[in-house]
Amino acid sequence: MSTVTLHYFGLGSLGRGEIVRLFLHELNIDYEDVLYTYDETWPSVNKAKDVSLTGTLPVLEIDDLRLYQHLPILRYLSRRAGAYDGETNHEKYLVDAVSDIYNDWRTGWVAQLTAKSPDYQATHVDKFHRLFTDFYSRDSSGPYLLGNKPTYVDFAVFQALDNDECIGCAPNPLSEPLTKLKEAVLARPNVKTYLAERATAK
Amino acid sequence: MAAETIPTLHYFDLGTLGRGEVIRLFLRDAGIEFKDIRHRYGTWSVESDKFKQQGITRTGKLPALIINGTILNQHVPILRYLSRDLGRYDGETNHKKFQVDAVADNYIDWRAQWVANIGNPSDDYKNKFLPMYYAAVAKYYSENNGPYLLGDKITYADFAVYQSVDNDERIGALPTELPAEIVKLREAIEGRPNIAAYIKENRPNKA
Repeated sequence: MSTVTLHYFGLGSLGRGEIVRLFLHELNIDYEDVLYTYDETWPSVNKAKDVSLTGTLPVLEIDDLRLYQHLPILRYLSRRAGAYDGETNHEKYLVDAVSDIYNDWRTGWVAQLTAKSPDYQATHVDKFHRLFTDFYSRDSSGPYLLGNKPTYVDFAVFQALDNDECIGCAPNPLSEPLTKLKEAVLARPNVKTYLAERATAK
Repeated sequence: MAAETIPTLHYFDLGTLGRGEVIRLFLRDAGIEFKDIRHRYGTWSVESDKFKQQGITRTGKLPALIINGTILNQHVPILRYLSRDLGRYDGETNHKKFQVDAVADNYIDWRAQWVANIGNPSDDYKNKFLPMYYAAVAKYYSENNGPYLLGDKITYADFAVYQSVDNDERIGALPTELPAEIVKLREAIEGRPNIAAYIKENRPNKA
């Protein structure tokens, strides 16, 4: 099998690419990280090296394909693994809907990096904390969106919580369903060590 | 699909603008009869809690599609739900499904920008963002020679891309030169038997 390569910015645990990294660890897929500087030089670097046709990262090279857009990449990897998604149409919808809500959260988070709005936590974080909590309250048989069965969206929501924390805007207090999700992801065997190292590097 | 009740779509009275219209087009194309409820856009923000309590929307946002006894929010996930339900309108292999998903995801990014530019489209939106968006999407379309993203077979992403062209035109932001792949898609969608008349009726200025 050809080498799996993830192209992203050197942003530590921040941003869209880290979700793909985390998910690759979970799936036990070895990959090579190629990091770019996140600044105004990126468009010319991209042009010179021809990394991304859309100008955006992450890009994942896998199975002789170049894949773009982080959530579609997670879904590609889930189908490839035959796991990490719902089983019925409605379950798949729930996973998809929460990942779409996560996507809306991400747009606001990225805007906040430059806007530095004083109400970000009171408005944006609070609104999405309520939405995520509502969806994560529906199946209390386990910590994940679909109860005991982890799906790709759990890694995205985990990263949303992490990334808000990183910019000093964690939901406070974190709701019980989301606390359980966070603890469950942190304890997963394939990502545990990676996440522990990541925490030390911060 | 449960035959006893027809699905209900809740959206705003915005004509063809916005996320709800993508679902309307899709449902019509698929020949699914639905109740089309259009709420006043102006008062939604103060009424959204009330509609949430009434079980019309789970997230407080629209569109919401009530189907098979459940409330579905988030328009692109709704399209995928319907596609799976019908067993059509998606790719068949993992890679084809990815292509459809990736284009739909580009469209979602486009939509966030479009919403921010409805009133007075910025030069940055018109001259930088839109040419990049249409070029990126066209690149995906060029892989299968059109007119649809996957060639002859239409998928849910085609309706979304079509609506981005329509909605950009209506806010006066559509680039004068569109990639050939996008022009071809537009013609193909406007010629589809189940939606051709509906589209024409809502586009009085176009010959």
